[in-house]
Amino acid sequence: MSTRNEARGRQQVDAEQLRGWLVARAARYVRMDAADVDCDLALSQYGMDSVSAVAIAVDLEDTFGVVLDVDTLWKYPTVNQVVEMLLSLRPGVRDQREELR
Amino acid sequence: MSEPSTAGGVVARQCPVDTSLHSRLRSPDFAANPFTPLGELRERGPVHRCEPPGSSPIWLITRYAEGAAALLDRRLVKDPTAAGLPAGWQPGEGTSQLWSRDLASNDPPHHTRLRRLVARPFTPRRVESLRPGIEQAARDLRERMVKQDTFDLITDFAGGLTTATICDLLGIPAGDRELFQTWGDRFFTVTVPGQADNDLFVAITKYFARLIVRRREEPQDDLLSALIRDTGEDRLDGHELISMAASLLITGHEPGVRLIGNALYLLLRRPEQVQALQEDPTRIPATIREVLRFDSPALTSLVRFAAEDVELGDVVIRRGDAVLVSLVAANRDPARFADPDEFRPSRDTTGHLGFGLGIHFCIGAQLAQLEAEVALRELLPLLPHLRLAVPVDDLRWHPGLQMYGIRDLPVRMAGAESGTPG
Ligand code: HEM
Repeated sequence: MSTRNEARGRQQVDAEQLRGWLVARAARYVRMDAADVDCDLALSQYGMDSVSAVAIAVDLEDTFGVVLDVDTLWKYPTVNQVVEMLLSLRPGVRDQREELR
Repeated sequence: MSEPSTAGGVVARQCPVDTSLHSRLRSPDFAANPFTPLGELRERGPVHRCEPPGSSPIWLITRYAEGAAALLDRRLVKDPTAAGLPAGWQPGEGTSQLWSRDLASNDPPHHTRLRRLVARPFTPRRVESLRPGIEQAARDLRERMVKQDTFDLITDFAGGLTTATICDLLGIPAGDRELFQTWGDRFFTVTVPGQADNDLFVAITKYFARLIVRRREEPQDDLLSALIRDTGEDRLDGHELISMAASLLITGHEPGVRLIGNALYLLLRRPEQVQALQEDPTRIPATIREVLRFDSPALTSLVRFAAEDVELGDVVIRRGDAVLVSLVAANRDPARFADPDEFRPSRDTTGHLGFGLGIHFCIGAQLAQLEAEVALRELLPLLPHLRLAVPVDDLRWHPGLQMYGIRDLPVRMAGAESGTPG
């Protein structure tokens, strides 16, 4: 697997930015209006399936320089939970699932 | 090994060749020549009990009639849970969550539905439409290969051709194929997802999730897009799409390479067959069918479990026991094919078990034969000039009970120095 660029891992992002990005991406994959996404509702309720869920994890990796497991969106099913989890990943720390890679 | 057990009034056949059939089947000689030991077993009886340590019994079927009957028997299932989860097996043995919805590890009614949804776009027309692309790939591979003094017909040709073919079918962009090279050989030795390195499994899952998302937004004329297409009726869900894409990519690779390799090795040693094929290339498909019978790359079927007690041949297979059909042994059963140990492309190969039988009959059979046909067409003119570049004894064979075939086939052009005649 590719090794991650440390500098990208340290990139600072704020909660609003993350939330906006996630909502837009989720809305695109389930083909709905971003304005209608409730950040405290499980995305599966909007019809997000496993393909989109894994794809979002991969998109997050590429955009924010983190390494995530394929089942990230099962463990953190709402937009707000994902945002919180991402913010808790301390900069420079690659991720909490190091042992899985 | 324990005393012969009594099953339904008949004595279960215990490892008749060795004290342990299991260890016999794992010996290094077996890989190069499974025919002799399996032939001995077949003569002794149709069904043989094997007791691998830590696992419930496995029954190995070596005769055609019983093998075909087992493949058609709906009481022998793929999902061990339906057989009471015998010792040594996990639910959905070897399948990770996201890969569990493939064809090979599911039983009816799930299998029926999945197979229908995959078979619909996987038409003979779609397979045949891949021919020009496969031919182009074969030409490119040959041209690159023959620039070297010695080359390997398997790694330099058969492997690349098989990868290109399945990637074309699925619609994997040409630029991404290099990714598979970096994942390396490891990738294609994954036959059961649970055995995959975890990082490999994760990489493949992520790769396909993203590709599927892209194809949802911009469909192409490929199998993946066709599987995704919303026809308004029943269709594959996300789990199923990932399972199908990953399993189609992986399942067919190893046997596809072995089929081409076994065919080439056979022909290298039979110049008269090469000449006959050059004179009449329409004989190539029949020749490939005979390779599938005579040198079947699938040594055994995939494992099945008895969902209830099943009488087979002269034994009773108890609920929970595992069953393997030796396709190699069945295909050389003299009760089914006359002079089975003779390679005879003109024979009627109808009923050979090289692709299995029944509801799990290989869905890639047509594709596999097409790529093998293209491979032979491309290499026939070259074959009379090729010599093995290593002594015969140095050739390596695929280990294990699942696959029979030559692993590498290093050759050089005749006339180039110090050849060992093939
Ligand atoms: C020479 C090449 C091949 C050989 C010898 C071969 C052999 C087999 C055999 C023996 C089975 C039956 C397994 C069982 O029921 O126990 C099978 C099933 C299967 N094969 Fe192949 N195969 C080949 C190529 C391919 C290719 C190219 C693909 C994919 C495009 C493929 C996909 C599958 C799938 C998905 C199944 C499971 C079908 C089901 O359960 O409905 N195979 N193959």
